[in-house]
Amino acid sequence: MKQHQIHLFVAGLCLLVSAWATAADKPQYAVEYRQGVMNALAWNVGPMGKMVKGEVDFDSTRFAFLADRLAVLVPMALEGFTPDTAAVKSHAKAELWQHQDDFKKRIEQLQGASAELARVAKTGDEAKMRVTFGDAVKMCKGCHDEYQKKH
Amino acid sequence: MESRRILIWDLPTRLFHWSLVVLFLLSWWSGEQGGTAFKFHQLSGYAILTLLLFRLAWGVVGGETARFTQFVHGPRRVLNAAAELLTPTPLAQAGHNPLGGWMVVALLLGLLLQAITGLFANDDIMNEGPLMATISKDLSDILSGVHGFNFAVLIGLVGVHVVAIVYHRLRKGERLTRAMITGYRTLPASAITPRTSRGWLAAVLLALAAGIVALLINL
Repeated sequence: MKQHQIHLFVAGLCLLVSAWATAADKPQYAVEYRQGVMNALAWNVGPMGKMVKGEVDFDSTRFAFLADRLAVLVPMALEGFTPDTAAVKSHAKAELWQHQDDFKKRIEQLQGASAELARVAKTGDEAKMRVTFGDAVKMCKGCHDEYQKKH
Repeated sequence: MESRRILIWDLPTRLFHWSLVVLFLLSWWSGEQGGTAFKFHQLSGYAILTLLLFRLAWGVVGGETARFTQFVHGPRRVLNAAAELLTPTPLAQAGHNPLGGWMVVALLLGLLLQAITGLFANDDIMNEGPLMATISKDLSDILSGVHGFNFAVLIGLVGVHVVAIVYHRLRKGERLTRAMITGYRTLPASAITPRTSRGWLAAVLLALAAGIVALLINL
């Protein structure tokens, strides 16, 4: 390979990398990030729900393991809801951007609830786990009803 | 004017109506609750779907006032009924009037759409309809959206239905709620007593409807 061809190749590579770096700042990526967190939440809430609903046997150890994950995931979600994502097509209602303080407050309440759930799960008190879980998912639904559109 | 008391709503039709009222309220409540109260929403939805299938069959082979051919009419009779609605004279007719007949159709179709979309819906948290797994998540999301929007439509229809009943009571002195409870209305002596249907047929149809729903949710 001739020298100028190498230069051209390196220049092209630099361009590609810088284009990629710029793309990483796109609001689209914030949307995908928060959707990833939400999907991860659903992934972990699902089996807990099945236990609470009695569709599978209640396994306190597994429940506590999943509850710990929720406590980590919930505080991660808010980062992806940046105002510059308002224009990106997503499941977020326009109201979310008009009531950002309320939205933030709700996520913080859910943070408290998920931390409490993780704490309760460690005690092994199954009845209390059920109640605390029920309270937490009610918060999920309350916020979805307010700020999430289905289509 | 001479009048007499006649049976206009047979027992299956009345039981259908009031079971539906109770289940509608239960579905509303449990739907708002979501989360762990959701099992009631599901059961209530299955029961409503069962009742609707029963009612569709009952509309063909049931008592006379329950039959679609008896109360679904074209625009001219609907307009006449609408004009008559404004007068204070009570209707001399047993069963649904041509205007109310279309409300029955609207309510049945609205509830049917609600029950069917519910089977495919998901709440993005921990609950899903029994047939959600048979379709894509995107389609389930769309149907969940329809389920949510159509509920508002249903509330509107139920509201109009209830207001109409109150209007009939206040303006025309017709006690329609009592008729739906006891089955009887006092009508001019000239009114024809509608044919009722066999109770055992209703029981068979209801059992069949329940069987279909049971098969459906276990697909």
